[in-house]
Amino acid sequence: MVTNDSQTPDKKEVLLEASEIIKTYGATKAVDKMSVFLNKGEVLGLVGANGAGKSTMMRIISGVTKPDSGTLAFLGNNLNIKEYSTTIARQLGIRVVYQELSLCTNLKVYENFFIEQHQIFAVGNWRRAANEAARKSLDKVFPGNNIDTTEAVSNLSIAQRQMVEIARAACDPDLKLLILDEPTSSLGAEQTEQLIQYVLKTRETGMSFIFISHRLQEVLKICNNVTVMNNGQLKCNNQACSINEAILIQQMGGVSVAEKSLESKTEKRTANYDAANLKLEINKLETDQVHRINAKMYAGEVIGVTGLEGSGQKALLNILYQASRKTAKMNGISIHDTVAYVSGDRAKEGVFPLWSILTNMTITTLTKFKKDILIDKKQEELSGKTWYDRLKIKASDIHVPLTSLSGGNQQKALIARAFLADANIILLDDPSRGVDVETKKQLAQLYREAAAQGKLIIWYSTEEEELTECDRVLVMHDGYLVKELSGSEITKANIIDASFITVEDDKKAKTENGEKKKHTIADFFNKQRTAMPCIALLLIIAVISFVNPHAVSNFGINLLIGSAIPLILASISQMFIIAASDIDLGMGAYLGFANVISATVLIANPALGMLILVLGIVGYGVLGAIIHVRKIPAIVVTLGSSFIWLGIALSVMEKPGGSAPAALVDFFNLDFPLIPMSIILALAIAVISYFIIIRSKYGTVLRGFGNNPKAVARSGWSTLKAKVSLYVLAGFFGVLAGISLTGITTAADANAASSYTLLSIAAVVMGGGELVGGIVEPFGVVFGAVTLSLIGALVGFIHIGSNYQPAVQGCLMFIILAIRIAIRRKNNETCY
Amino acid sequence: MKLAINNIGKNTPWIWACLGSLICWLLTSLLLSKLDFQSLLVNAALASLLTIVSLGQMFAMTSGDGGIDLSIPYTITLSAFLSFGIIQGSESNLILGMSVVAVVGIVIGFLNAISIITFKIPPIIATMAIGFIVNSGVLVYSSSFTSNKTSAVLTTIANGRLLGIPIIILFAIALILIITFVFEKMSYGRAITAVGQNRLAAFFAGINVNRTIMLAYMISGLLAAVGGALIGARIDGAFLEMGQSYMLQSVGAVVIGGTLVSGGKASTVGTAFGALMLTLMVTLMVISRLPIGVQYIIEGIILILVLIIDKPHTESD
Repeated sequence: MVTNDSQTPDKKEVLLEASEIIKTYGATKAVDKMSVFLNKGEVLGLVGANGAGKSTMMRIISGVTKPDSGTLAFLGNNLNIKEYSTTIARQLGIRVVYQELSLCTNLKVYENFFIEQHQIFAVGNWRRAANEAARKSLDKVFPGNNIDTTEAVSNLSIAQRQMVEIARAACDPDLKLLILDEPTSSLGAEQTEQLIQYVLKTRETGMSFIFISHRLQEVLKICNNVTVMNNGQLKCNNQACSINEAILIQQMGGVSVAEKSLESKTEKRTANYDAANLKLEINKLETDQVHRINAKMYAGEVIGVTGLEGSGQKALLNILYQASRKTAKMNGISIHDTVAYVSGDRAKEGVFPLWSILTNMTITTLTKFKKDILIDKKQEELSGKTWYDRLKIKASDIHVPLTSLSGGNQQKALIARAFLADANIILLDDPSRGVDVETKKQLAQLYREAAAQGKLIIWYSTEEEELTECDRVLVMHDGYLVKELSGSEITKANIIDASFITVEDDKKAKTENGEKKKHTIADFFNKQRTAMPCIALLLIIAVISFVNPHAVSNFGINLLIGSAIPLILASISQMFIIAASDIDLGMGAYLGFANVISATVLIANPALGMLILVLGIVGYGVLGAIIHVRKIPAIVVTLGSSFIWLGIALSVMEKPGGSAPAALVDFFNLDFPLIPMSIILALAIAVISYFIIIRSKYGTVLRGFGNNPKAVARSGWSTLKAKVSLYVLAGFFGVLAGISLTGITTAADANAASSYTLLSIAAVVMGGGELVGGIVEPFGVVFGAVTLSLIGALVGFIHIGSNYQPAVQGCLMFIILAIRIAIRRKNNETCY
Repeated sequence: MKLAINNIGKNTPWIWACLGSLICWLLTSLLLSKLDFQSLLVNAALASLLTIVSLGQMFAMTSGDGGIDLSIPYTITLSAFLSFGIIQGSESNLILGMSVVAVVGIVIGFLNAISIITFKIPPIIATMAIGFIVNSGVLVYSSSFTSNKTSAVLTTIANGRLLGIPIIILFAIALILIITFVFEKMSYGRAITAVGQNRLAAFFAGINVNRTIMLAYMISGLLAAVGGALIGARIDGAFLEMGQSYMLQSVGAVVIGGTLVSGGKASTVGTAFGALMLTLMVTLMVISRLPIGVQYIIEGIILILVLIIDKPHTESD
């Protein structure tokens, strides 16, 4: 390879110099006297096996982790490592695109740009500005992308999210150093190439990059220098032009290519294509994600499944596993043996975080095929230990938590888990993504041995090189099986060629159109979350007006909706808590507190009454702070706080009584000529809370926080402040709810509002909110609350007795949720 | 050495609830100026009833994904009414009455589970909705209710003593032993903690996730129903809202006992001590003649303090 970067190295300005960095965690030295050196306008590759310390080193450079010792200098200025933080790093122009995505999926693409780059959109119409910036940046890095910047991130594919993430970091005008941690692992070939072109182009303008990747070819293509880490230390500094992949692998502690090629290609072709050996047969399999798949797989084979990212490989594996578990009806799959599965996404679908290595490994021995009711602990320990030793898992003991291990070692334990199931078919979902070269080799050998023993291994991988170990490789494109390679045909070049084969299929076009039609109604309800509660509300009003026409008179409506105002406010209050992905089980008691105070102290001594109510709101802020700082589940903290609110209320007034302030009663009796006062009030509440949580700048941040607090924190927002803000808002609306209860009932009772806790949660969820993920709909909440309280009136009108009111409320809640979830399930299948 | 101490705290999460119970009891004794074992026994008997119900809640919470059973209080009330209504003071109706109670509890649990599993409704909402429906059942059934007698056998279990020890305590201990065995030695215990930690991982590890969750809620319903019949027998009557205090208390006992609210880790012994501590705390406050409002405030503060002090579970990163 010829490059012209090395011509005048002395002219280059030094951008970053980190030297002698040490960082220890307990007894292990994660980074040991590591040094990194980077010129302006250059790209530095950072490679190393798993656990080599690359990620720690990057966290130190970006200010996330504080080093124990060492020096950091940026553009010639020494940084104080004690005070260095993510905020300072951002000010200097250092940004990181993390391996795990840090987008708020409930927000729109451009809102994510705003959250991360808020300083740019400080003035003017921030929504338009952020949208334009997002559009521009995405087109700059990934020309021709089809990403709609006003789409919610949850509707994007993983690759698209990664693109958004990269473009978002790249849109910072002050960017000087962009750190990319495995950016291409989820990108397709085309986007990877675009990213490479972007980096090559941008470095000419003086921007610098640090590029961390296991894909060494990309590293060599893109980088000026490549630094190799090993065991937390600097192993080598190479000029990219003077080395090749083989040298890098050796430096990282791998085997040389010569050795490797000698080892592979042995023991292949153990399969015997007899009907008796047929383990798995797929016949014209057709689903949403894969189309017309035909395959026969036999005992003793290692079968690779690959293709461009997202071509249906993972889906195929999933379908096969589900078919084996019979959790989904699948025509066209017949499986003649037991199946075990190795998950690729460790955190999401692999690891049991509270368990030791041993328990994590042996779970399959207890549950899979031997349906033992009791556990034999000796046997368990024995079989676990065997695999622990066999796979050379690096840990101090088999009883330490699995999460304390490095990614590669965790992966080994998960593979051991599948083998311990003693199944004869093993499905591997990209098990070696992000695993170091040495481990990969070891694992490939394991698969071959298993095949030699008569097992069938089906192995999805994103790394073509690995698949040369297979007997056959199935290449997929767009959900179709486009090519089958076997034996010596299996080369990286052939796989990549095959990955681009497209299928001309009129059936495909037809099904795609059909799908679009089929999904429009579901899509509508997905995007318009308020539609369902609105329909429910209209329905119930229709029923009421049918049963009792007098109820829909101006007076009747005022009465009906008016009595719903406390529940509306309580539900809005609950909504702010739910926006933080929490639940407030103390809402009813808090309402009782505000109810009692406003009906007693507030009348006798308005100043003191106000003060107590404000202290109540402050109390909510404190609760939020406690929940945030101590990481305690909100459910139990608010459960505890409910006792406190109830206690205060009872202390002030033990028996029901009190009276409403005259001004309050007058306010609720205000009469408007055309539209009933209560409707205006209900709509005003909806509009105000909509502006607070949906439209406002900080409200957007708050919703982002409810979805992905880590990402919001990384963007420089205080998560504590966000949590406290949401709780204070909840406290404020809770007080309003309590006061309105006083105004409507003109009396107070500490216990009167206890049912509001559950009803308010119900109203938020009925109104289109989700209990996790920061998804709330203020208008929906108001509709939901009104609907729930109208049920009481309806039950009264149709004379079925108030005994049935809870049942009707329960059933309605149930029906709305069930319908909503049934609609959503079409788009988002859960497997078990 | 340090490691050993850490491990004690880790493997015995009930130690704090146990200490808390001890402190409450000592304070009570201090107020009465004598070490009163009788009052401890009476409290333990009351706590046993709470324990039975809370152990069910523990199963629901351990199943994870926001698992919680809010239908428990309604199940308690309904089963108390049912046990009185069917048994009518006649021992010959005992088996029938308890069978109906058990079946009703299991069916409520089943309905909860169906809403959660099949309709994918979050547990807190699903059990609330089912709870509302059960509540209507209570209201309807109680409106035509006449009986005020339950079975003598039930009353004996709830109120009687064997060698000076309340039988209900022995009943609760037997239950604790059985459930400890389930979590320690049975694959179902493993399955439910796996499901509680990571449902997808559990599915891919070959666990029947849905069946595991369903069983958890059915156990919760069964225990609430049995608890309800015994509570009714102990207070010798059934009344509306009688289960209401068990909503918060069952969750409180489970959490104080060291079971993870997020699921995946249960502490059977801890739940029992949590129940004991809550019960002793109430007694302590009643004895100290605090106004009811202040009692509630103190109870709330202590619950929050326990949560703050207790080392929260943090995943290593």
